[in-house]
Amino acid sequence: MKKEAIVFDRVTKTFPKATKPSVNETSLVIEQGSFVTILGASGSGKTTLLKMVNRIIEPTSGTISLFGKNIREMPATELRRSIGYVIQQVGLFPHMTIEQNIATVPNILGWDRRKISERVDYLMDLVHLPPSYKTRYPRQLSGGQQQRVGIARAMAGDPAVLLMDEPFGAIDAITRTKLQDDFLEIQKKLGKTILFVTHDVDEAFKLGDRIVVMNEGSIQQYDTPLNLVTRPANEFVRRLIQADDLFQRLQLMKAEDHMLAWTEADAAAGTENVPRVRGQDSLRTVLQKLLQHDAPYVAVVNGEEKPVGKVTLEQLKTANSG
Amino acid sequence: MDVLTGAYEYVLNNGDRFWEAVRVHLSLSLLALLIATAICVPLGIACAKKQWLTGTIMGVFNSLRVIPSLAILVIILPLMGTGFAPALVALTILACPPILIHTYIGFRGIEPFVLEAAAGMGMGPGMILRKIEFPLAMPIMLSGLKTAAVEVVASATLAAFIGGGGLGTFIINGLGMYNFSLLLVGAVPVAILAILSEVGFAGIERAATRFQRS
Repeated sequence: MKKEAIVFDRVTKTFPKATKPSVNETSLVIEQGSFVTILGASGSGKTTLLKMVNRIIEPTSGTISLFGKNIREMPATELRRSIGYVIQQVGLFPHMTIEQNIATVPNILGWDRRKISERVDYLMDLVHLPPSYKTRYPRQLSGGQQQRVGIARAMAGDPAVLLMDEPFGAIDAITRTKLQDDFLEIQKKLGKTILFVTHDVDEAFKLGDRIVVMNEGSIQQYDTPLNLVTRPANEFVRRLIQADDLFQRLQLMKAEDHMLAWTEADAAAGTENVPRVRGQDSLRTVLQKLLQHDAPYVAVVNGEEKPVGKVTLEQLKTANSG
Repeated sequence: MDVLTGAYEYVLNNGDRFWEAVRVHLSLSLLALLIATAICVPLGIACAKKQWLTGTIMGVFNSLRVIPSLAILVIILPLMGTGFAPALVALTILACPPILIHTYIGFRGIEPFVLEAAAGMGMGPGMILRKIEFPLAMPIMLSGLKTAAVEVVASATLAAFIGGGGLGTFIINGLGMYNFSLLLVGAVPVAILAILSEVGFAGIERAATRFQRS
């Protein structure tokens, strides 16, 4: 059992003058080191849920704890210094250089100058920004670069938890894909606990270990991407993620989980004309290769290009139905 | 040309009186600016943060702006009599609207998500004010201060009408005595002071907006 990082206990938020709650009696446990995406349409309460964690929004009732401590029992400023926060509009301070922006939290925490400078260098490298950008102002950077700074700034105090509110929402599709890939790399290295709000289904599936699907202030389902597709809890989830979509499902299954053993007979048959995939590749890639090459099966190869298994069209059918 | 040399000779012969007038003129202007800043900057910030205050306060100060400077001086006269103090009050009132309005605009112009990010980093309200809001609003506030300064330096001339002293004394006397040299002894330094304050504040403004240009 992993440690519980964030726990929502029957949390409700009703904004003044609103007729119904934005977040309704919601309970949720986020494990340490997990990357959880919160998926929902606008008005679903997903951003409200996120912003209650660092007390930008205070819940009407219920409690939220961070590593076992009720967040209301510590001063809001102190709490926020221990949580990284990234928003869609980035919100860099326009009158400060990139270096000063990134150093915001370390400065508040009173780190010494050398430690701050080393930290800035490390973070700039982590988010793939050239060191020469340190002395530039935010205005001189592109939207994607600004959000890289935003992520570096959020991580500057080495927080255990990161809250991200549609951080890539305002960025063009190509840059967004690159940012998502880079950010996954960063997460692999650092293993933070991340809450990530998005309205983009693909993004939620690509980034999240687990996904919270929200609608009208309630959690519809909290599960792994594969389970959401194969076992949607209700009609809403099914429609939102198009769980009936064959490709969507195949996309989430890995070749190595559904392959048959590689036999002597297969080896004898030769592998020249057999298309190859890696164990990590999705069944969607398998299907694509099968159709492209008009082959009876694909070989699943390991890092040394040695076949370790095969996937036939039959396997795809079984995987899809089961 | 004679008029100018006449003015020059007057200054040479009456150095004490001239420099005393310059001193009074400057202290009147500076004090008026300082008091107006002390009152209107906090008011402007309050307006920017509490929308319900804005209508009333802005209304009052905007209507003050419509009243000509001379009229303010004349209205003050029966209330406070003559001398330095009523002149100071009148000039302070004059300096208020530009400072208030520019402070308001400067603070309103800060993107709300910049403030949200600052709060999210764990900055308290005081720190946000000092480190984020003031620096960001400063360029616009300075341009308000510049307008106020030029206006006050020029209008301080009128203080002489209610016995406030300053360079205006020479202008009034010059007019009264039909002595243009004497008039220029007041007029030329006032013009120079007004230009200097314009140039000075423009310089500070440039320094404060370096981040917008580099």
